Amino acid sequence: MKKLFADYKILFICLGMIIVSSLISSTFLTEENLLNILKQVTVNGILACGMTFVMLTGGFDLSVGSVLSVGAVFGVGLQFQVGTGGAIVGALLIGAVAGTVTGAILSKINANSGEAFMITLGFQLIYAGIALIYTNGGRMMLPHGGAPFYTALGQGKIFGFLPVPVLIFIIVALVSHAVLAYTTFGRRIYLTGGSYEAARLSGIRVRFYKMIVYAIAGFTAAIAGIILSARVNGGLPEAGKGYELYAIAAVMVGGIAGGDGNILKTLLGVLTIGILGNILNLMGVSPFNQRILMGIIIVAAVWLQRRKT
Amino acid sequence: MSIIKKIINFLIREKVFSLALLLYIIAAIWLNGDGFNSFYNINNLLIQVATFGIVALGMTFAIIGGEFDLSVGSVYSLTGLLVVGLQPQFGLFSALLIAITVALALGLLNGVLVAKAKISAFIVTFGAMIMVKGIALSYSNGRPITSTCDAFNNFGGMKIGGISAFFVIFAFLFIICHYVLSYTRYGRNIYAIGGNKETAITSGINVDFYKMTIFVLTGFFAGLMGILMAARLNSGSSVVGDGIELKVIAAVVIGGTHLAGGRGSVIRTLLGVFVLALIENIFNLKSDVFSPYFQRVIQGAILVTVVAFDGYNKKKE
Repeated sequence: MKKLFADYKILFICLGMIIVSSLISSTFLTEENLLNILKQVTVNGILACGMTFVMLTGGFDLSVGSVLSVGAVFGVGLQFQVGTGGAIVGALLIGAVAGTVTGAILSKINANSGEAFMITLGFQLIYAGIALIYTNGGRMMLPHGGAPFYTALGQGKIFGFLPVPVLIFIIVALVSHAVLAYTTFGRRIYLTGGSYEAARLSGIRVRFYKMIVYAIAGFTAAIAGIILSARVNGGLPEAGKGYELYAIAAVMVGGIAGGDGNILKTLLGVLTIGILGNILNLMGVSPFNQRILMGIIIVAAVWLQRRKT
Repeated sequence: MSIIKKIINFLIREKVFSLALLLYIIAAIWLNGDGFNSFYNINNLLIQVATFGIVALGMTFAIIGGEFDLSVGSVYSLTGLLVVGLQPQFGLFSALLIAITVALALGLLNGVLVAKAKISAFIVTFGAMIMVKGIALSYSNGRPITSTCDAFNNFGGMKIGGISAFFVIFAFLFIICHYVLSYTRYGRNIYAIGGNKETAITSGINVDFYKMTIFVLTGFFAGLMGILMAARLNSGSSVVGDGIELKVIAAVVIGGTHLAGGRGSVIRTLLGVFVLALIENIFNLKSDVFSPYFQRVIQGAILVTVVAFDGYNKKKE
């Protein structure tokens, strides 16, 4: 039990949050509110799964919000040319390529955290600009007559009750977990995040793994973008603005560090951040003050993790 | 060697200077019709240089010392808001005092967390950036605050000898900073701790103290610029400083001061600032060609290229 506590502090934090929240607000446990939390958690969660791969190798990606926007606008916009299926494939591909470009540069120069910050921020600007140029600043509308399959991705329900985005989220989380926990690829990702020397000496291509994780993050960002645009029936070029912050916060709060952590922790982190945001909203805390809190939380989360070692 | 050869060698060696010169010549010719060479535009250019430049002076100290400060943009916004927002209640002088004190205090907080709590500058200033932005948004309720003090507003447009007062202030600070970095013990020690921290410690330098002063400096310069900008715009807002930290870091790195620390100078920073200011000026004059969205892409590309090249080169050494 002690080990469980030490490793999974986040679980107890999360449970604590749920209890405190339900005490603070009577509307917290209502179906409507829980559904709201679920909606938020879905998109953040998909992003956070991809971000987990990145942060496990010791990096992080501030451009995922913009890649989400790119995925959203191209997912809608490409339908005019190549239909719904083509657009989805296209958007996913673009997301993966965007991530690969970012990752290639970062791995080539063996970036430290400061450089990763600035380079991924540069790409955040670049991809955001691309999304804006593509839509000319406006909203990308779905083709006339709608696109039922596409819209269903954001608004449909399976088995009558399970929202499709949640299903997609579950699939993404399961696949991510399976890859990380049960494949050689996953093991090598952990190694890459551990000691650079140990990884190099064990013969794996560290540069490749440091690059591919960004492609994964870009891919998941595109998925999230498609879902978001399907939900609002249109592709907004600023759809993903700010999402990277929540994804990083969720992964950090969950306790992921270079070479150490798993998807379950990320999910708990996502849930915790989601609940935190929700209860702050219910309590009427202004979004401005919430930002202050978010900044403090990120710093505190990192500081506390370091104390562990 | 003939004079010509010496000049050519100089230009090849000092790539940034050559780049700045080249850009300026291209702009002067290509944009002559758009008013690039007008006195009004040159003054604007100098104001841009001063705007980035003052913050960049502080950032230069930080980067030479092996650190950097991501919160300068938020501090910049906050001080602008404070000096404008507190005027009606406390009068101009007190508002100025409070604003600059807040900037210094935030800088000190950053410094203590980095130097004493040993948290990386990146995490501390990143968190500070978010937190201070939140404070600014909260204080202003997300809306700009207009300045009502005439003396303050007039100062913003003040010119000395036809050139904006801002540039004169910048030039003055520039000279002081260059002197401190190149000719004082304080400056030498900043280079030392940025170069090799362990060696610095064994030479008896109080690294913690110097690191703290670095962040106080970046905070001070950011705060000063926030106040000046508020005077110019006659208002304070929580978004005015957005993105400045990156542009300033990019300027310092473009100028040739490596992020690794231990090297560089404010002269190099001035070159980098000039290049960026020039690019922005070109964007503004040719906004039909360079849509704001395209500008964003280019700014991002510059940031990526600059940091990537700097990171790549550091491996070679």
